[in-house]
Amino acid sequence: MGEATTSAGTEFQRWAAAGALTAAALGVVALAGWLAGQPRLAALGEDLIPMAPSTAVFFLLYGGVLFARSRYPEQARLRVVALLVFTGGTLAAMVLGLLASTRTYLAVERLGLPMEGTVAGAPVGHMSPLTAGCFLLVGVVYFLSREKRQDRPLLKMTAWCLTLLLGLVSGVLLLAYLYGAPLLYHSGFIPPAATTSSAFLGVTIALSGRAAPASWRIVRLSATFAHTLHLLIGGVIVLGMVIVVAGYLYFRQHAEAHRAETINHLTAVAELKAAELARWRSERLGDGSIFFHNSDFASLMRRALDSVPGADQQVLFWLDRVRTAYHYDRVFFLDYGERIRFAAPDDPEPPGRYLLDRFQTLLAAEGPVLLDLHQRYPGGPANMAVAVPVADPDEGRTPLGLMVLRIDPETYLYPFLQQWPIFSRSAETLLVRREKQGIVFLNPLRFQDAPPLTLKIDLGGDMARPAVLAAEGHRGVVQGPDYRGVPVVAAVGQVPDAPWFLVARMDRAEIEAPLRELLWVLIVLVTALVLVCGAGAGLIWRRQRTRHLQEQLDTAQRLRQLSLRQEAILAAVPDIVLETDRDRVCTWVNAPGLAFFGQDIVGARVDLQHAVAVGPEEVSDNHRDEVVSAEGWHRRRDGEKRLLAWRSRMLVDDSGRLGGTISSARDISDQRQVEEQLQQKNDELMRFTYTVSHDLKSPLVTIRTFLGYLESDMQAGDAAAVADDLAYIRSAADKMARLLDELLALSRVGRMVNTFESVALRKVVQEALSLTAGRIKERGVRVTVTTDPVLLYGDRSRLVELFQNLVDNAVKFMGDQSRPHIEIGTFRDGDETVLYVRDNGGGIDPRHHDKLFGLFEKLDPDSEGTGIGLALVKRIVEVHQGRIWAESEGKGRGAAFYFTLNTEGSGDPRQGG
Amino acid sequence: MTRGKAVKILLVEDDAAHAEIVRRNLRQHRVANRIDHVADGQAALDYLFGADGQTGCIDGSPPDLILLDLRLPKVDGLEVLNRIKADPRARQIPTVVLTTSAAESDLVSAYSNGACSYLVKPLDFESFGSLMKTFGYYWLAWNAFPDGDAS
Repeated sequence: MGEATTSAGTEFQRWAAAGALTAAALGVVALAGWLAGQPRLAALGEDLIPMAPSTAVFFLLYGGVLFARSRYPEQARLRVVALLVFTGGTLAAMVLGLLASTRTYLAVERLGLPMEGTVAGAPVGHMSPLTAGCFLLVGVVYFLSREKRQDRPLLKMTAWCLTLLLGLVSGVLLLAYLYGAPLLYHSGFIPPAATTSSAFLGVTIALSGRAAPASWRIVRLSATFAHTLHLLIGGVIVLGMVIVVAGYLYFRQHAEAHRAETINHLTAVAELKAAELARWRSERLGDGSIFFHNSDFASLMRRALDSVPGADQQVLFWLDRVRTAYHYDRVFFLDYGERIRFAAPDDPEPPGRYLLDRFQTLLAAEGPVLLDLHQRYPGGPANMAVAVPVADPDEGRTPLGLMVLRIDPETYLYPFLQQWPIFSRSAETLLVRREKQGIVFLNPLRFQDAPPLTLKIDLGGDMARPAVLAAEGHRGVVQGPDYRGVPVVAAVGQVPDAPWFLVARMDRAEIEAPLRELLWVLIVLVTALVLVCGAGAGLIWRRQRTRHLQEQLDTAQRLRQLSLRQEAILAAVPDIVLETDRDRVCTWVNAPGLAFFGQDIVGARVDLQHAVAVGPEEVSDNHRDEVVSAEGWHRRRDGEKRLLAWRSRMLVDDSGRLGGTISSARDISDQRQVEEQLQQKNDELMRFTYTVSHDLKSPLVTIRTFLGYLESDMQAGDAAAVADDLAYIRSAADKMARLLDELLALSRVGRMVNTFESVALRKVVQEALSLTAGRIKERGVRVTVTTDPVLLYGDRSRLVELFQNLVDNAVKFMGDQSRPHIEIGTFRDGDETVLYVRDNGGGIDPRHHDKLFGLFEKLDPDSEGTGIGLALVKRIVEVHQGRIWAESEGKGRGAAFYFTLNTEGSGDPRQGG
Repeated sequence: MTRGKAVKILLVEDDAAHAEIVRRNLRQHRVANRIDHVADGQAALDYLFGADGQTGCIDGSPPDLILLDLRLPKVDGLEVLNRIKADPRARQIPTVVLTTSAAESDLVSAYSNGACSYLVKPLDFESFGSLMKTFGYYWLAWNAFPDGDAS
């Protein structure tokens, strides 16, 4: 499989490196954004909180270190640097987190960059306590997952769980951002930025590369298996995205509906209240018009002013009736001299400054006037009033004074404004009036203790944006911070025929509260679904991995079995089995091979004389299965040259190239020797039968033919011829008999009837000489025998036969030597003892040396021999594992037969003779 | 006989009895005028090509026919045949193998070494006689020889 194999380990490291790089990159982008005055780069959105410069530095360092560690895990120096960074980072995160949770912020976090203001109620440029906590988590995971801890499964498990926790936190934060409802906004704490959450997701992946269970990372994968893994991861990512998007769409839809409902609600409240206020105002004016141009009341007042008895009582009765009937705070009459003449209730309270300032104008007014909300005197309580000028009906309508119906807004107006159709924690109706360059809030505020009419806001600012917009004539729904700076949604409008502007508003937080609940449910749901997805994929992966491991195990077992079998076979065969690489260098050899060649053979170039007949590169299919046979001589470890029969086959690798050869070799030296001996015996046998048939036939031909002559000669009565014929017949018969005798002797030699024994040379020679004594004496040969104490080892009777034949032979071919002499002796030639029988007879024609020892070979046709004698000699010598050769200086100059015999043991044969 | 000149046969035969038989038969049937008998291969070669300072008969009066046994002492019959056929002077002398061996290998070797004919010695008296008679007529009466002087 080679390069096609990938490992989940490297796969994991690649993902981890990518995660770390992402985190670092996000940090760099945020820093660059701050440096370039583009904080949006650190925030990802207009009203989202940006990543603090300190956070960015953290990500830059952590991401960079994690990336470097995953790429160069073996670098010791890097390990130290990482340890320093994570130690420092963890300490810093602890300090920052503690401070941030008590809302203490360090200026140093901004790295001297100019930044101020708040987003979502939190100061910009500082690390969120949650972010600090997450960094703490990262540090803990890093320390727990150090290589040193590999053997502490509990710590590893903790690290892995904390990594998952980090992933969960960042995932939830990111999901909330994605759904447009970021968490922790306006909570009083700094929320983690969207980029921060993303970067933490990257860090989670990077940490997984260290902290994930080892079994996830170590398995080696085949290409197809890696493909499965990629499919699984891709499937989980796609499914996760689908789930997230589905949740997002659902949330959006729900949020829109909710917002529309809220707007409807606010608008309805605003419109209803505006209409009611208008009605109320006109009613109040209507109350006033009771006294305007009312002649009866004017007359009564006139009389009362003139102190007509009873009239003052009547006026007071009237005033009290009006006050109680229409719920006025106080109804009083101010006479021309700006004095209160009659009042209900009748107490001595003086008229307010506000009224006195406008007295003349009001006195001249053409009808009742509604005095808008005001303070009776600076710092006094808020009032409204209806002022009605009262004129003398008789005397040219001269003004008598001012009838004032004072309204306490607490009685009806304020409670009415404070009413809200449903329970709400933040809903409020505000009444504002435009005043020079600003607006003034007319009713008491729900969330601020300032008395009515005291809170004034400039038109230009951002504060109380909806009220300002209302005062500027906007209608409909607007958003913005209210007088507290809290973002609200408000329906704004104008009260008809009044200088009043109405703001019906609610905190955005309250409006979004049910959405937030839904968001949490959704986040939990989406997270759960994604986790289920991941878990499902994990289960599939686990099953696949188990199957894969099982397959690997099976394969390994099969291989093991195969190798055991192979080992057994190779141990059992007696042959040499040898493997070479493509350069014919021996790479492996079995035990018989080691025994033959020795240890040095492995690694040595094996010169197989029958070079496998192929090119070293491409091997054609024809040659692939070919077994090449050859024989060659090889030097064995002990130095002896042995004949090996080789059978070689190529090893072809997957790419079809020659990978080497496997050869077996069998030592056939002994076999070959036996074969050769057999061949020799066979030849001899053939020659034997051939010769026997020829040599036995010859006398037969003679006998039968001369029998024919005998017959005719007898008929003719030629006695001399008959005797001649008979002589031929007798001679032929004798020859036949002799031939048969010697053949019998020869056949006995090979059969080794007798056991070997040690016998002195002297005794053997004596026996042989006694057997040939007759012929020796007849020819008058002088025989000399060595006195060397040589001990022979062999078949005694054969040895005797050997010397007998040689002596016989010597006597027979003594020629015409007048002083015949035979010498029997020995001499040492190296390790060997050579024996010899030498004569001074006829000698041997050197041309015929080769035929000397052949069966039935006769060199002298006149001799009476059968040609078996020397063949017999040779056979006896061979049976005793010796060799024999003859030497002669030529015809008539004597001959010598030399031979060696198996001497006892390895010792000197002369010993112990 | 056709040529009316004396016919000389060289008989190479190690077995004295066989030589006697051949001689008797040839004489009986008046096949040859002269029969020279040698007993071994070496002697035959010496007879033809000379040895030990003596000149062989090949340059003077070569035999008209050679009767050759195969199993011969010293120098084998086949070797003798080979040497005869290798010598340009002796090559044209018809050489007839007369032996007791009927072995196929001997037959093949003899012919491939230039034997003109291969005769197996019959086992009985009559057959031997008729073989020698027929042989004599065929080779010496009917068979034409190159002129001896031409060589």
